[in-house]
Amino acid sequence: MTVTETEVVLEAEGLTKHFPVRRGLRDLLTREHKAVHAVDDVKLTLRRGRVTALVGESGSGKSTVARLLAQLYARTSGDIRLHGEPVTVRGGRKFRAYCRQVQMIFQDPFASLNPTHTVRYHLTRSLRIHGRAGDLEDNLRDLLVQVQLTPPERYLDKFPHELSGGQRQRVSIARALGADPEALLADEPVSMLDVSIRLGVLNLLRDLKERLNLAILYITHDIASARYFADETLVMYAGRMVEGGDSETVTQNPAHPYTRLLIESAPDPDRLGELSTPEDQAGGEPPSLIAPPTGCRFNPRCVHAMPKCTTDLPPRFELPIAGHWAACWLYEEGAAQ
Amino acid sequence: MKTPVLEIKNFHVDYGLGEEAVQAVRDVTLTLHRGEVLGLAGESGSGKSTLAYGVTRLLPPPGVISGGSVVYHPPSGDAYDVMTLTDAELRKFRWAETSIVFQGAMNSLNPVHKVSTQMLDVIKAHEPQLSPQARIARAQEMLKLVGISADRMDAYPHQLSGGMRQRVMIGMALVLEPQVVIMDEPTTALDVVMQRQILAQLVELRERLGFSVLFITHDLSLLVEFSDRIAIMYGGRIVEEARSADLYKDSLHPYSEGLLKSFPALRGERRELSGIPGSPPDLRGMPSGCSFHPRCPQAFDRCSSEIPLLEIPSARNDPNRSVACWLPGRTA
Repeated sequence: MTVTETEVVLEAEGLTKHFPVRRGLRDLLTREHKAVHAVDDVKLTLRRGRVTALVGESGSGKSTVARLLAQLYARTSGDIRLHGEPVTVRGGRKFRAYCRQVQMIFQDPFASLNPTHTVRYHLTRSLRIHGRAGDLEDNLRDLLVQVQLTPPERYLDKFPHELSGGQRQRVSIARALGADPEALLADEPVSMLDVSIRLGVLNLLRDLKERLNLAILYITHDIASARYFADETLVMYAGRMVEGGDSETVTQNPAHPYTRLLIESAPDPDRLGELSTPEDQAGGEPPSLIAPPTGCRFNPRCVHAMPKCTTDLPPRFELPIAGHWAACWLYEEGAAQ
Repeated sequence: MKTPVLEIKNFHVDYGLGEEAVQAVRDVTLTLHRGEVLGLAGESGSGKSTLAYGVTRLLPPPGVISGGSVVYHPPSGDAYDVMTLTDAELRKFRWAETSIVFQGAMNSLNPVHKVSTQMLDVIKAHEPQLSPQARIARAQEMLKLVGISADRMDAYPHQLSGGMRQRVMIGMALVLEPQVVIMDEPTTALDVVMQRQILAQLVELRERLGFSVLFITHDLSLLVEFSDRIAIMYGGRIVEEARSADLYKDSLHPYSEGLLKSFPALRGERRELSGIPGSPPDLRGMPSGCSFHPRCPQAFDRCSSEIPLLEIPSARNDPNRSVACWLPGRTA
């Protein structure tokens, strides 16, 4: 399977974010400015009607990527292009114009809805701000129907505490749709929900993607759900992308040692009895992002590490299956497998 | 022959009193055998954590244990009911016989005390006759068992990573070599790689020390791989209990089946999954009859009127499994 070419909505290249570390008294004497290298040189493309998953453990910078794309953080360097146009916004009118097209869904529906306001208020605000308050009642109803909260009358005047977690997350999806966006950035949209209703929300997002032709960035730590839901999967480790390609290819033929570790560690009911641990030289500890390891950031944990890995940063190497790549020296042309 | 170490019988927990009480745990009967890992799975609000707190009598008000007994069988001596212990006896019982590892290790360690202080405190309280040197040696040995080097003894919790803190918690839980360790979602806050390492370590420690584990989680796929037996809770009741392999291959309760189908698979064929329609029940207004019937695809008349009992299903004739469902072949 190759990644089919549809219209690019949002793309990022060389996206980098360093958070400065507060300087203590002792640091004032040095020239050194410490920073947390949260995201380094990230390249990704969101296309219409496609779901791109960004998988990584906590602290790998995946949420930072979403916030950078939503322009909630100012980036340190790199480009974000919306429909090919480079954009930089710092609030105000330009920000509103931007977020009319790129909307974000947050992880925790218990925190992202205001407990003192009704569903109607949340959705009305979204419609008003984005200039779609013309047929307010009809639009409100449409939004709730779109997220399968039917009949809409029953939900419109409820407060968040009267809804279950799944319903709340549907309301926050409806609020994002209120802007009629082209791209949705979903930051762990189901990880706070009960297991039995997660798939319902994922299936809803997939359905919306097809009906509204949305580009979706799905951020998750659960690589199995990325396989289920996303067309394309990108794997992030310690602020850098390490592997990417078609979801099926990445999960079935993982190339990068980190992706392999991640997949071997995922719970697998078919592997009954024996609880084996995959090889990992650092006992599951990701590196410090203030002073990340030189070369490949995975090298202190990697069982295949070579001398080169500690000195040179691996670029993306194309793999035999079209669209599949890994940033690992193992796949350098002519390298022994 | 399996010997029981903890027998929970007809256990009830309410939140609040009188008419408005919310019944969080209903008539739970569960036996933990020596040396086994018993998984307790369920969604949030199913009462699984309440059960764990109730069994150890750690339930904060307004939680009230409104019925049932928890019989503990010590390795030597007579069995006794934990519910009847006095405060002083209870203090001795905790840590030494049963210990508990809570969900957020970040919040269970005191941030202003060193790891060593907190660990030595536990030993000192229960074995005051030990000399300080012996206590330190004991604590160091335990930390080594859970994979933390002795020089981290004097670290403060914030100087350790999430995984290390959870290891310290597990080490603390095991330091007095209890018979029963209750783990309430010990790895939910951790990454999968770390989760697997900690679980593998736990399995290894269990083989060495021989304790039993009651492992509470919402992640059924993890339990299937890791535990010996699984009990599934829904709406405060246990709806199915079986050996892990049986439950995975041949679940009898529609809820267990739905739960198993809620996890996308990483291997094998890519299937369309649906999860379970509807949302978990509100404990304040539980459905009549089987609490799962409003979400159950196979529900029929009887389900909404009568509560099914946990019984050995006639269709399987296996004393090791039981299910609470009215479907044909599921009742005794």
